[in-house]
Amino acid sequence: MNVRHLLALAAAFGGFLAPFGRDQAPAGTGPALVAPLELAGWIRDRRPGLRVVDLRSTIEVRLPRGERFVPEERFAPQSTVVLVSEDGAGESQRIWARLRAQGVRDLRILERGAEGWIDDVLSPTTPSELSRYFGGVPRLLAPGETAPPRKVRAALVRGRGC
Amino acid sequence: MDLGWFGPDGALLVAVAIGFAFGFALERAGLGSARRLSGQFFLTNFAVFRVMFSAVVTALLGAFWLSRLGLLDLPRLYLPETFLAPQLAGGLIFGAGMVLAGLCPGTSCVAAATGRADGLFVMLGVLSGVLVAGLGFERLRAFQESTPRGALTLPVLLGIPEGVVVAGVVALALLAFRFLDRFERPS
Repeated sequence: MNVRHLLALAAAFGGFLAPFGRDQAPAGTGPALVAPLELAGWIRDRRPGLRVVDLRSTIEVRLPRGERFVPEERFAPQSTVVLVSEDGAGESQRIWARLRAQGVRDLRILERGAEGWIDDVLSPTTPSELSRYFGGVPRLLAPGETAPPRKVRAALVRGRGC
Repeated sequence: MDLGWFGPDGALLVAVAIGFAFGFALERAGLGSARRLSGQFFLTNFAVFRVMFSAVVTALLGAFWLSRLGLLDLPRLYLPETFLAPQLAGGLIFGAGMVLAGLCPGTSCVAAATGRADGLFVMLGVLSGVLVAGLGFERLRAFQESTPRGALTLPVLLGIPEGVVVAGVVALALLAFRFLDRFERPS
């Protein structure tokens, strides 16, 4: 058996096992998510090519670096686009598919949308440095107390952040 | 642009090193010879097919398994966009030039570096073409940006998992190589 045969065997082995390899999220299947605190880290660290696209019709709590969605705009394929909706569902899934077809490869949806940003960054139950950076105030709950309704929390934190 | 571990200066050095390695591989594969390259179009010599398909399979398996092992973040790799009409026109012009010259831009550099006069003249032709296209770019811009289709990949286009596409391409390559081993006439 010579080198050519060995290489062919290695290629056949790698190719045969490929369908059993763990699939990655952007492989043409479902949208990839980004956690609110991870996005906060990207915004603070000025991640190159980051675009935070806000799909909400009414913006009560603005995200830093957030920009309105313009349907005609074409994003650079190498940019990282994070879609923000009210709750991370609905509209963001449709726009995700559309931008995906445009060729944007690193395309994420903000987990739990703006509500997730409020819950984890602006009004978290556990204080964190990132939360403080964006003006977050820890939510103090008495034992047994549940979190206040989202609408109330949104009103409490409105206008805060960068 | 995110250049990872290397940074801007390191990325430039890596690009130069890859360029030299690419040229060396082309020369060692005998692709600095216009006669051999033209043989591909007349179906008398399949060296180009073998070399290029081997490179495709190597890159495909490397990128696939490195990403699956967590060593490569595939979505961060640059993926060129598809523009149907301009790329079809460009492909036809490129193909015609390659048949006429017997060399492509990369192999013309290899041929020139090894002292072949035809390689040098093809390089001059390529650079002249780049200059003319650059000077007339504003007129070509509308055509260049027409019929956009986004950054297409086979898994997205066919709606099948990446692993299946990888297996299919590798199987196709191995079958083709086996077929050529049996039936290619010795040159």
